[in-house]
Amino acid sequence: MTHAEAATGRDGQRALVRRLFEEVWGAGRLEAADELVAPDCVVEAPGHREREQRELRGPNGLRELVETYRGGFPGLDVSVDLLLAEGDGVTARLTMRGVHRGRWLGVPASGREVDFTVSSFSRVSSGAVVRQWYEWDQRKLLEQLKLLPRI
Amino acid sequence: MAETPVEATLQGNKELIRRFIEEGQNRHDYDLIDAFSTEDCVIHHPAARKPASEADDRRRMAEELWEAFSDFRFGIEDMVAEGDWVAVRLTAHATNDGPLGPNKDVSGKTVAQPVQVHYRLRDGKIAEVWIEEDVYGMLLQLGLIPKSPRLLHWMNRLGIMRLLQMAGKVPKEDPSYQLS
Repeated sequence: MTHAEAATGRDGQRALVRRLFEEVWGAGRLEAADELVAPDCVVEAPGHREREQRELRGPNGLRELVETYRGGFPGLDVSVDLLLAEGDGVTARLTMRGVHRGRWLGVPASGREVDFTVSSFSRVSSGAVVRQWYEWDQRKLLEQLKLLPRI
Repeated sequence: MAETPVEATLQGNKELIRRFIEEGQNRHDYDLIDAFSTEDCVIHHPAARKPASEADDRRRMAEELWEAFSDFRFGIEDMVAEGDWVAVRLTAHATNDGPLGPNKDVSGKTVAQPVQVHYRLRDGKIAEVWIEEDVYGMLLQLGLIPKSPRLLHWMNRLGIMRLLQMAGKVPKEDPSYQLS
């Protein structure tokens, strides 16, 4: 592989992951997940249901995760602050901002504002994300919704 | 295929971060951690109220962690490097055998906590650190917090949270928080 091809590959991986964050997460175009996420992709994230289940699978799994947050915080604003690519790996830092206008993990709408930062690792193969990990501090959301004391 | 200069730099950066984690953090060797960090290194961590940018703050952060978890160590799961940045996916393995947080909890429990860190390097040292982890998930593993946001909502509505705070089971709001 020449250096030019490597660069194209890296930029391609980066563009794919950016689309996933901007279209699926940021614009709520959930159908784009079919194109961007492999059917057997495992997505790990902090608890997205009422219980602390961390693993989801495939485009439907990602949609379920995004719907939990876009449902609770309609119009969720997602900005991609940093995107790194090397080999088949892409990592990102994101900032998400929203207003709690819908039911979120069983908690009725409060109108309170949240903002939180997210890190993500992705592995890409054949033009789709085949594995993805998210981390954010769920406690910060719970504090901003006044469900936990700020300590 | 010969390694290009850029690839050699990225490999060097990853090796530096691997040593920082395995020889500094995992051996609880603060002098080595300090030697790997620029003087003005800034650490962003969700459990910290504001970024740690002073040498004393960074040291206190590490010492409090090792006091609460005497066997604290990271397993490196994955690394990605580009430009001045190295990103690492880690699992923290730790037993809470010392005082943790404002309640000085000692749960005795062991956690496996996923963590992602982005390090920015400058002149061969760590200048900026962005740590992301689910502190709520860790408190759940330690059994120190109610299990679901829905439950928290009802505990607040019914005043149970306030009773638990009065009984010292849940930390009280830190009054100084408003000032910062």
